[in-house]
Amino acid sequence: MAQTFPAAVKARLAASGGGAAVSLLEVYTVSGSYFAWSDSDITAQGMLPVPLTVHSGSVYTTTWHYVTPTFLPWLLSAGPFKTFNNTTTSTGQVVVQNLSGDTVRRDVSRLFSSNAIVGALVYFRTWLADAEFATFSFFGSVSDVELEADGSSMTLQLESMCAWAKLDAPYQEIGISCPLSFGSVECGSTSSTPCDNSYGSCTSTERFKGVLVEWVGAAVSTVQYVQPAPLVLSNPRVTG
Amino acid sequence: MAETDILNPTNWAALGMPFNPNPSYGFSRKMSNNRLMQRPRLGPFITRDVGNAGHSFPLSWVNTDLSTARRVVKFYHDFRNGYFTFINPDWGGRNFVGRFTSEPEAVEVANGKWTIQGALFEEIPTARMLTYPNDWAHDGHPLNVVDDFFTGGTPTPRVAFMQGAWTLGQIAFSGFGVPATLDPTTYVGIDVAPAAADWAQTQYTGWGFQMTFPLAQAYGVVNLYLDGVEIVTSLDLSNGTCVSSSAIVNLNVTAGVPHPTWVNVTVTNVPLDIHLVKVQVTGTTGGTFGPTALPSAGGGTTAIFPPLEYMY
Repeated sequence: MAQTFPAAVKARLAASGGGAAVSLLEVYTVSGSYFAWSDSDITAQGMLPVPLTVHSGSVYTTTWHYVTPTFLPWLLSAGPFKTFNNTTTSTGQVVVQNLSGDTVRRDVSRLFSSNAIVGALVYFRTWLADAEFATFSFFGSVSDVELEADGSSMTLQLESMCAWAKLDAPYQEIGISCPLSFGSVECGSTSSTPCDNSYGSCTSTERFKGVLVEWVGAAVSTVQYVQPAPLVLSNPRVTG
Repeated sequence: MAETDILNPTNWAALGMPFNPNPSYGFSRKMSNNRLMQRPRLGPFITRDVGNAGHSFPLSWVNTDLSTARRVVKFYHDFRNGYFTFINPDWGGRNFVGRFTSEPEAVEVANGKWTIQGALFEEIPTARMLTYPNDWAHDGHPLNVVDDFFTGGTPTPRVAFMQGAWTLGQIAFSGFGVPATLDPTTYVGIDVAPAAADWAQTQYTGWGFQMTFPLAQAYGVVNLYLDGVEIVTSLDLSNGTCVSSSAIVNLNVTAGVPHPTWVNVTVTNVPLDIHLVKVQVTGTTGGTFGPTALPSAGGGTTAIFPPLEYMY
């Protein structure tokens, strides 16, 4: 996505020297743990809101707020990040050190074992520390985790939000025949006569899930006209 | 096991050590590059600071005694996961904190004579020090507000002037004369009639820093931050006073007639790392300009971002 930098940032980037950007990675796990990792020991505004629960008497109220964490300098490498100008899912990869910690369970391994890292929200930025400005942002989730066999590092595979290929639509044929099983909960028919999945034979028409292609009269006819099967079937499970 | 353990204390004789623990002559004092540098085929160099590594010294002890040889080997093992202090006796006694990253191999070359070759001492960042480097004359390096190139004849800021109507101006830091247009050391960032919370920030790799603010009647009050922590609160650029400052800050106002001319902010006691220095505007008008002479009233809120000198 095109991004317009403020004039001050553009002026700063135009200089022949200066500080390089650092990598900031925030992780918010499914179980509600928040981590902030960087390749530098740096404090910066967080981008992922975390819950804050306060109580007054017996009333507990949870609100979401942004924190300004001190990022742990644990990131060994970040990238490559691949972005596209179509609906292909953007991906990225980061490697986190796993050496520090106690000898039984190391830091990242412990996180791995106590938190469901896969599916965690991530927000990655390349951060110009002096300008306090992100020149690149990646918002997504963890799609895969690899732990080195010797426990030295952990690799997170990331994918962006809008991973269309990962949308799970219910398996459903769209056509003139009803896809429901006769007498199932979804069907709801209590008739003793099974249908042949046509509207004409349906005894639970309020739940008929086929496509009605033609009817005659003011009211919906119970007589189904034979239609040829459509030449092109739309399947929502397939990426456009 | 830290900066208080000194490999080669200067008072080694008083400590009862039988032999001079200093390394032999002939080791190189290697500074780390810390820079990513790229150069188009016919273009100028473009650099970015990407690291925070320190110095490294390949040390050797030639024909030393057994106790010194074993001391060096012991320091290697003791501080494999930590750091100790090495004093460079020929570099003004400057302290370095780090550890041996290659094994010192002690060889008995003659009866009672031991030689160690190839002991690589490497400084590590973010470590505390007994004495932080403070030799500004030799180890201080300029970090100008603009870069050296003046592409197209105009100055390019190196400082991130992120909020506020900052412009580049020139000040004769030498105290007299009109500064040369293409002298990058004379450029400062100026925010005239700023809004409160306007800020500008720069970044360097090293230890401490110092910056000298000019004082003037039109100047106002700023806060100074180091790595996001406020180290000088309400520094008045009319007279060089401040409401409070951190213990690591040394403020020094240069007297002048009819009014003080400069205030120097020096911060020495910070470890090697990437550091951020930020000037943030308070919007408060400066106080009394001169102590006794006229004109004495403060008159403005203008903020200044002067060049830095940083220690490496």
